[in-house]
Amino acid sequence: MKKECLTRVIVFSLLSWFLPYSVSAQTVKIGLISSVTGPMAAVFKSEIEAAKPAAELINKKGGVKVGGKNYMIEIVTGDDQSSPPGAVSAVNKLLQQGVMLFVAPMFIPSNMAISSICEEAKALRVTPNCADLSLFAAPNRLNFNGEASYLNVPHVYMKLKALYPGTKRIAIIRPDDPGAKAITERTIEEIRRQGMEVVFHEAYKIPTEDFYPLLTKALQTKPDAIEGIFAIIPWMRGIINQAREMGFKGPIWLVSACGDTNLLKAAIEPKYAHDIMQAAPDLTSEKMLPIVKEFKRLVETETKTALNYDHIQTLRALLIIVQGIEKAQSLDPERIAKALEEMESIDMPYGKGRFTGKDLIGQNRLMRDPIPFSRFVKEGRIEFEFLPLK
Amino acid sequence: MDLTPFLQSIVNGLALSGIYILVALGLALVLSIMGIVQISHGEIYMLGAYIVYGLTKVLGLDFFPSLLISMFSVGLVGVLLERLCFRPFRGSPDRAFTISLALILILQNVVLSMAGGDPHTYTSPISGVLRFFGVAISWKRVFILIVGFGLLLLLFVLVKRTKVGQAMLAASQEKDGASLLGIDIDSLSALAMFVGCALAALAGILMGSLFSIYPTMGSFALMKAMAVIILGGLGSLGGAVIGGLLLGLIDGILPVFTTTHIAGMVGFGAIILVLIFRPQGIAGHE
Repeated sequence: MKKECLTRVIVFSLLSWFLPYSVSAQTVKIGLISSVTGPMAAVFKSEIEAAKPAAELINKKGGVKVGGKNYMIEIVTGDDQSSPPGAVSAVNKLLQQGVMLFVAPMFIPSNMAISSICEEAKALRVTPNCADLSLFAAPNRLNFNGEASYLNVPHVYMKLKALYPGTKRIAIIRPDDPGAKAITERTIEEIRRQGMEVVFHEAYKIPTEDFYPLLTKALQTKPDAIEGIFAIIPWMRGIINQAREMGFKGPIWLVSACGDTNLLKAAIEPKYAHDIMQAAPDLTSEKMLPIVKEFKRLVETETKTALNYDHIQTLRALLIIVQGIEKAQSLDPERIAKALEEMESIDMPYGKGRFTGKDLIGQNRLMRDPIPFSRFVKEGRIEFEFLPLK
Repeated sequence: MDLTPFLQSIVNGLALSGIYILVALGLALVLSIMGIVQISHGEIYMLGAYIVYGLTKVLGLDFFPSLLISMFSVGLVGVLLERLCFRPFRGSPDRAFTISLALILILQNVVLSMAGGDPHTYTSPISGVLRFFGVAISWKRVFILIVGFGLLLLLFVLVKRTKVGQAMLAASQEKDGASLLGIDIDSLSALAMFVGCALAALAGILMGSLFSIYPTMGSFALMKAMAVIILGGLGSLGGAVIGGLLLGLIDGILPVFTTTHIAGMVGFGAIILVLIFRPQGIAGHE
């Protein structure tokens, strides 16, 4: 009896010694840093919510295959507390745990704050969505932009021009966000290229929800359309509802995405939900690919909330990292970066994409994939399509 | 010359004044009776909006009954806070200030954990737009304006014409003297917190019907309320009117003719000037 007991103790001791090692040996840890607390949590916490379902989706398909061996992915999350110091603390903690692959924060100040730390540690980051190109240019070599709305500007404007050929005068109302600078300049350039004119352009303080003063001024310039670039849903809700209250009947659009199309629909007055467009998906559309439909089911089971645009951002970034690892057949961040840069085709939630940008920023770090485009036709009825890449 | 933008900007400014006055009234009341800068007033304002959100969206209640329930329950929260958090520290405003600071974080995180960080919206039954002389303003804003000035009038009547109001006035001027005259300072403080918090809740509810609600929405309210009472004069209801009108008109008119940034600078520049040349505020007493 005593001997049997001793044997059990030895076996358990050995198991407890080896088990964590064997599990971690078959797991790839990916860090996900976003805002769980602080003012930006409202915008970015969905990314964290999506971590478990996204990992489940990838692991159900066999995880990631390297050297004939299947690794499951494990997401370790970090809270940037909506601030650069919080982001630095979160990334240092994860780096100490040996995490070298990251879904980087979409909150630009946080992303900036961790850039040099990650570059020095040679850690790879995929930023799910970002309009600030400087984060992906040298000296940053290991930061990839999972959705580069900057690249979408000409395609979206071609579509808008086709929908509203008579539109000539555009009023731009945008948040006073340094991250919006590059995409705003690109948009103004594109507006002119399309034969239209910017008749009003002003930035509002963040956060603003009362747009009466700004709209009073903007509507005096008699615009045909309002461009609400870089807004998030609460601000866009204010712009749309208040512009309509003040009698503006023309189209209101965003060349970027203010957030989930269905959340935007729920936020605005139904009678005002017409002639509104944004480069964002309607995730309930039948046109969504099977991977999105499967992800929708997993997210909704896990979080008890509807799949939204920000959940998809986590999936986008993880798909990029996983395919990069498989292509590189290595977990070395530099090899993965090289593979991603050279890959001709990456499977993304909206179709096939690849990294471009050498002509713009000197290296291929900007994802170019089909552009989702949603349009509120009447009383919130949504028409959705993917804009073709030309 | 087209006067529409000017008229529209005055209307915008008046509507903003209604909002600012509503937010500042409760804070001014608590400050004058209890002598503490209740900086978690913004979170009380946020709480009111979230209760209405819960009652209308989760329980399916109508807007107006939800508004009354929210005001009453937030008022009770105020009474609890006064009893448990502020009364033990009466006479040491620095400690009360620290407690108030802690309450900001506690209340924000309670709401964050219960309702999440996403902005939420609810609608009030008031809809439509009032149009005149080329000016447009939603009825919701007109309603806030009416409620703001209406409550102000009510508070004036309460202070000037009722015994409770007179007791409040006495306590705000000289607590020890008022106490010697038999005025129960404890009950008065509890009442001030009840009314102050209910007013903050009302402001939050009405603002929530106009914009969206989120756990940190109170910081804007606190900033504006503080600005209004500093401009108008600490503890003066008349000052709250002057401060609210001034700040509302600055925020409504200036952005139309300059930029929102300049309007912000002018608004707070005015506060600095008032603090330098008339530290007691425009309508405050020495």
